[in-house]
Amino acid sequence: MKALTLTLKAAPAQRVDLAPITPEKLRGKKAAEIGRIRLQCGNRTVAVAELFAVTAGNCEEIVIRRCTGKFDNVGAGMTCGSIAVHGNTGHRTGAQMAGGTLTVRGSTLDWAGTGMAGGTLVIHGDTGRCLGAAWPGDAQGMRNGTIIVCGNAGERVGDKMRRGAIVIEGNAGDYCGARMIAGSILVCGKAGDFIGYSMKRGSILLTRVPRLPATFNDCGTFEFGFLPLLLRSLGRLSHRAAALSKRASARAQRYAGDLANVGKGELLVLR
Amino acid sequence: MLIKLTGGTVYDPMHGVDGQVRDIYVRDGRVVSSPPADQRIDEEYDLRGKVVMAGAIDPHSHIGGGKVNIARTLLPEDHRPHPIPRTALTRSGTGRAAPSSITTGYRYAEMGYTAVFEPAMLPANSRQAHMELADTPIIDKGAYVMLGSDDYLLRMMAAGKTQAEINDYIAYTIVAAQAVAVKVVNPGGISAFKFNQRNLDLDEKNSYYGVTPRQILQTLARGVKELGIPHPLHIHGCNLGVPGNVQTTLDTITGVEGLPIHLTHIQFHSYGTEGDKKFSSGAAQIAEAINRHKHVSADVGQIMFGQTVTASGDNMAQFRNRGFATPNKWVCMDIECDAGCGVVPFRYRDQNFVNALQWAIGLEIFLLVEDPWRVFLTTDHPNGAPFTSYPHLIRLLMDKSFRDANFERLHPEAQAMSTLKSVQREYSLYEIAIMTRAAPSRSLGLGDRGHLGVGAAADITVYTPHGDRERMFEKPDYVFKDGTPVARNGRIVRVTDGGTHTLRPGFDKAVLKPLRAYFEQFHTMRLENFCVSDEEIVNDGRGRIIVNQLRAGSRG
Repeated sequence: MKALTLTLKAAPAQRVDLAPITPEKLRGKKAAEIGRIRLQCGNRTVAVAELFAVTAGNCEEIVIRRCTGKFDNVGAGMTCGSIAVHGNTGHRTGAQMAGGTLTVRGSTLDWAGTGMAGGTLVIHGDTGRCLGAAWPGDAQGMRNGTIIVCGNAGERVGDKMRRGAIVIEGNAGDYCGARMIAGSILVCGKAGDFIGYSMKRGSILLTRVPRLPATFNDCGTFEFGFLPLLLRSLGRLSHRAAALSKRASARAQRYAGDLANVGKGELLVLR
Repeated sequence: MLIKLTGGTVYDPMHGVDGQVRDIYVRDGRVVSSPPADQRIDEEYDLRGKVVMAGAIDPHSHIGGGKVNIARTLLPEDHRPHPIPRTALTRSGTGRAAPSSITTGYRYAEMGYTAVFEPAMLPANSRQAHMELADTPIIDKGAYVMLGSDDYLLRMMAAGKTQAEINDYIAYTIVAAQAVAVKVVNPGGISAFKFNQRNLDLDEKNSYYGVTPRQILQTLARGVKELGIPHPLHIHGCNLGVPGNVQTTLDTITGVEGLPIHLTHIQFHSYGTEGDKKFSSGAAQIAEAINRHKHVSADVGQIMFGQTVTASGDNMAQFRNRGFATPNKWVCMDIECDAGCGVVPFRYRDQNFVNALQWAIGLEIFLLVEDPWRVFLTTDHPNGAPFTSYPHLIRLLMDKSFRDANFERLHPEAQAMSTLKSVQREYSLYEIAIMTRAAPSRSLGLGDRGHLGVGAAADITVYTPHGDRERMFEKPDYVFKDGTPVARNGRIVRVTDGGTHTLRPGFDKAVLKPLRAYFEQFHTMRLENFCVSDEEIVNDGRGRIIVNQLRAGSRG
């Protein structure tokens, strides 16, 4: 059975909350029923059918075509199945998602994967600030799962991240891995300033030495047995990670920090 | 404008009216005597078959001040799943355990409450507390100022100042903070906590000031009586939540030399140490002591099962309870050396032995205290449960079979430790009217509130009698605030602004000189800025100051 497809008819003037469109919420619904679901649009609500042409199909596999940055909460809270988005998405893409696969063949705005607890989020373009970060008031950011960004990411990647992995194939902005509690971040391109600011534990993998904060200590170069395994597993989702796993030795320069906090975190620069 | 409320069954304990069918006339926000027959009635409500009571009064509910805001800040979990959209009439808000101030006002009014008192306002926080109360619509408000762990009082006591000098300080603080009563929280204990004491018994000295809780209680209770403050000293005693604290509470009752006192959320202070788990009910002893000592009144602080947040000035108790925080985060802090603050989110569970027994202890106290004039209905919102659970609590008190059905769902060992099932008492509507209206009004000296006699403020709640008392008290048919219909069938129909109850005890201006010096040396603000002025509360007519009478025979 082919995928359930939503094709945008005309770009909305206001922001639209697309959280009601996830595989588990649509399960068992017919195309007409889906068309009647109300979406918050600015200060009013609109029916799905007013915005999208709905083509019936398997609800476990949703395709959204011609999506734009006006659509927030795309795939938010999804627990299973897959959503493929052709076009860009707005804020909180894949927020709180706990399972399944969300693929954006475009770019997203801020807060993608915030509070994510499982599943895979792949962004083919760029993403904004606070990727996989903690929503204000939350004690933890991303709690599990995998995020792949093929382009660049903005500031505060993995802020208060607790578990899981984030791969940035391009560059990451300032405060990458800030306040990180645990987990892994791989930045294939350049990372900005204040990397690992106040991180407790966790690993940030880099391909070049960043501008180091004063509270990180050089520990020298070591052989890390886990590195080939980690890169190979990430390589299944990311070409750049796959390339690194072929090229890089298991050696990396280790900088421990943030000594202003617990100090059990590390920046690993692949050799 | 003359309003007639026709043929309702009236419960007005202040005047001994127990379920009599009467007409009530309201003119310009006041209850008036029946007008001449030819007088035109502008509006008439047919209340035949309905129950009519004065608007309910909650004498202990944390609805404003620093700690409620800290609780809100601490718990986005309480807000995100519970958004309350705006309507054409009402504004938006969030939250259940610690709702937005605006939402608090609506919810209380919808339940037929017309006055609510914030029981723990630190003097240094009074401006913020009053601003929050100003943002609490419809209902009348008031606040109890917290003394007893403030450095200035402890300094005065340590220096052996006279009762008269301390009375001046109490009176000045009431006026400056625009309070309506005096509360003491863990007397001296909040200060002792800062000197690394983690427990403070009734006769244990504060290690720095050398003052004991018993001395503080006696000094403040005597001051409150001599100043003619209508509400007796509002006491949150020592050892809150500690098994075995029933003895502390009994000692507190006998230790104040017959001075009038009010023991608040007494459920948390009625724990024994019997049984295998060294935790048992002291409700029978407490109720017996309250029955015997006529100078004592209490409110219960009933707990209800579910998620809430405990917010208290008692940082010693809250620090002790921090391990129980659910979700796992908590705050303990000092506030301006006036007192402290502790916020610990809590989830009470009926399958938890201690929580289940706490629930039973609260109900035992309600049912074993004979005089409803001296026990008030509270959940110590939000510490025991959010105030929105009052209708459920009323049903538990009025309906033995419902109570027993709930009791049987408790942790089995807690059931075995409680005598609740053997208690036959069911509260009558008249008794509920006493404990939620007449008694708090009389205790706080609210004068024209809490009753329906001629001249009373027309705060009136009308219910449809129903076998399920929870349904009956959840959504009153009509709620009138100062003669204006504000809610209909449990929905707000008109948003008004309530007044603020205050007192104006007199004091000797000589108190200001040393106090000013103290403020200059230690405080973050000047004495002149510390006082909350009338204009701030009146706020161009949005608020209103209600000055209550001091008790007769007092100076001032």
